Amino acid sequence: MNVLVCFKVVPDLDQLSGSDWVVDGCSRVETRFVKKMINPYDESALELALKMADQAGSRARSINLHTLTVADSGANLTLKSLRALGYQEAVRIEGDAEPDFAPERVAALIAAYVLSKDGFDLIMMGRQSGVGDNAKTPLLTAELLQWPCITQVTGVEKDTAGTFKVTAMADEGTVTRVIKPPCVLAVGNAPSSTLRVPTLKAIKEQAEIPVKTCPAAELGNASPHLPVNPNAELLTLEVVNRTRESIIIEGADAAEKAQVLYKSYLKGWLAEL
Amino acid sequence: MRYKVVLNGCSPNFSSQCDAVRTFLTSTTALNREAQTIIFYNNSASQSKLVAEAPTPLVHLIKINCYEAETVLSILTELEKPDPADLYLFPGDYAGSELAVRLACRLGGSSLAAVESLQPANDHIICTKTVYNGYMQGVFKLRKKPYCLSLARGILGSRNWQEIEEQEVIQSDWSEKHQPAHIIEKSVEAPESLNELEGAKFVVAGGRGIKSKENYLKLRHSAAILGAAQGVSRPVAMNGWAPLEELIGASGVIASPEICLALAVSGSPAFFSGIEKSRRIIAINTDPQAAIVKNADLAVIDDYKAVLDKLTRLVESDCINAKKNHT
Ligand SMILES: Cc1cc2nc3c(=O)[nH]c(=O)nc-3n(C[C@H](O)[C@H](O)[C@H](O)COP(=O)(O)OP(=O)(O)OC[C@H]3O[C@@H](n4cnc5c(N)ncnc54)[C@H](O)[C@@H]3O)c2cc1C
Ligand SMILES: Nc1ncnc2c1ncn2[C@@H]1O[C@H](COP(=O)(O)O)[C@@H](O)[C@H]1O
Repeated sequence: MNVLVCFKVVPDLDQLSGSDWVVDGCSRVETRFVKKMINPYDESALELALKMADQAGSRARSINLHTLTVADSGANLTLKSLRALGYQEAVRIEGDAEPDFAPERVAALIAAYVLSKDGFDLIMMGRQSGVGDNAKTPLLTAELLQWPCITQVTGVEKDTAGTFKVTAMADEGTVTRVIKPPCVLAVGNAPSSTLRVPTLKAIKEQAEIPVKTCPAAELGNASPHLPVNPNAELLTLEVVNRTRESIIIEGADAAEKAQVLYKSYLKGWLAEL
Repeated sequence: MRYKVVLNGCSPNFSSQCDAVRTFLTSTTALNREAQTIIFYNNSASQSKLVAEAPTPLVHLIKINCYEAETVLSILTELEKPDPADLYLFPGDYAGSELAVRLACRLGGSSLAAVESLQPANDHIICTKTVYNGYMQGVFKLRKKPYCLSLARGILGSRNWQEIEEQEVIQSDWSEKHQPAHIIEKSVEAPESLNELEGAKFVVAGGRGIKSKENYLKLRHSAAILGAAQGVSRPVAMNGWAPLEELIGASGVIASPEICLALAVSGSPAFFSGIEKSRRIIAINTDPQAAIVKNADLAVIDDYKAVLDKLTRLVESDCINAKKNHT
């Protein structure tokens, strides 16, 4: 069984302070110098796939893990540490335009890559990624490949019969499906799916081995869908202002502040409920 | 502009789907009334209730066996040929946000998820939605018809809509359509009770600053004394300290209480969008620079535990006094 997990390295936008939110001439905010992280949903997808491989055990390497990102060389370190965690193949599609607001293009590249390899059973992705907050890539990938798709996935296990048991959140509750591959899984809020940390030894082993890259231009022949332009064009950006009155409650210590909060405000508000 | 609203009548959240779409339509001018609502349903007993809540006079009821995105997409695709639309509107729930993107792909149109506003023009539409993890609002132009949009979550209306007079209902039965071939087995576990956070009047929301599961359990206890529903930020839920149903924010519950007490949360927009609809927000945080402080009506800069301890004692003693006076 071959499982492909697609991930994106994103800026940790919570690190930016108020004055950093400046829109440049191309309707973007400068985030190059912000600390990077794996998109949280992708981190869950990467960990769920590792857990599934653990559970399937070493039975003739019953699950092959493969990971892919469309990014510049900034993602190399992450790809290496994913190899150190047990991803047998870790590939970067390079040489493409900025992927943040171009989910159609990213999906087309991923689909083309999958077609060029042949043999993936599952593609796992996050349900949404920053900076674009698009929530589109896994859905578009599924459509391009004409594969089914399950969204809001919270768990996945491999059955012995070559099928997968997939748990997902839905509007009507928790849905568990036993499915035949191939399928695209868009991972949502999966509890306890923090990505494990590789051992120092494994990191050292991977450090010198270069990351495999695949030029975007080479994928053009594999898919009838390239090139694709984003179908929603970002025109302008504006900071969302959420400020309120922000009255600071003063007091000598916590108890006194609590007293003021309760007596002057909360008590009356609670009485109104 | 001819448009179709697509709703999932198989889901218990049907009323909130209708409510969100109606609110959105009310704030969207320049959409004419050449519209129909397509409702997928599987329980014949619910028909009249579904029709009564529909946001347009023309309603197309489609019976299916059970809700699966693949099934609904193939039906919508078949219906487009004889009866095309310029615009498809889906609610922002799990089903709607999936269908909008996939349908646009099948029909050769364009899509955008979590749309907050829409301005139609002759050969394009302009939409807004939040980007940069909720920090920014982006204005987008879509050119290719049909435009398939899912609405932002948390569009809340009055729920007291006037009934539409003279509804016209078309019915069709697609329940013979097979379950998608990739599914061998399927089971649905409905939640035991309605999520109390959604309708709560008073919410206590705890963030990563509470630091442990043990503290979370204490917080829950205090919330109960205060008479508040318990919510948490993403790190608290993801660490397994609290159940996922308590997650507030862009990827969790959008709460709209009268009072929200936000403790040890920094107020990142992905969280804040879940409490933004609160009438009053009180923040308790050790860091005066935390975003939640500026975004609250009231703020206490201190350790949440010390403040909360005193607060619960004050409430308890008031309750005891009230009881004494009563007897
Ligand atoms: C795609 C995506 C979706 C997301 N969806 C959500 C979502 O739905 N909901 C959500 O919550 N987050 C979501 N997030 C995460 C979000 O961006 C933030 O990382 C998260 O909300 C931070 O949680 P927090 O405020 O609890 O933690 P932190 O940011 O770590 O803040 C902790 C706060 O506690 C304060 N503190 C510490 N100790 C104390 C003390 N003793 N007393 C008082 N204050 C104290 C600190 O000053 C700090 O302000 C999402 C992120 C992404 C990328
Ligand atoms: N540049 C990228 N490279 C690889 N995967 C990506 C990329 N962008 C998005 N994805 C995947 O698609 C998911 C949804 O992203 P988006 O559609 O941008 O919100 C992410 O969580 C990733 O799994």
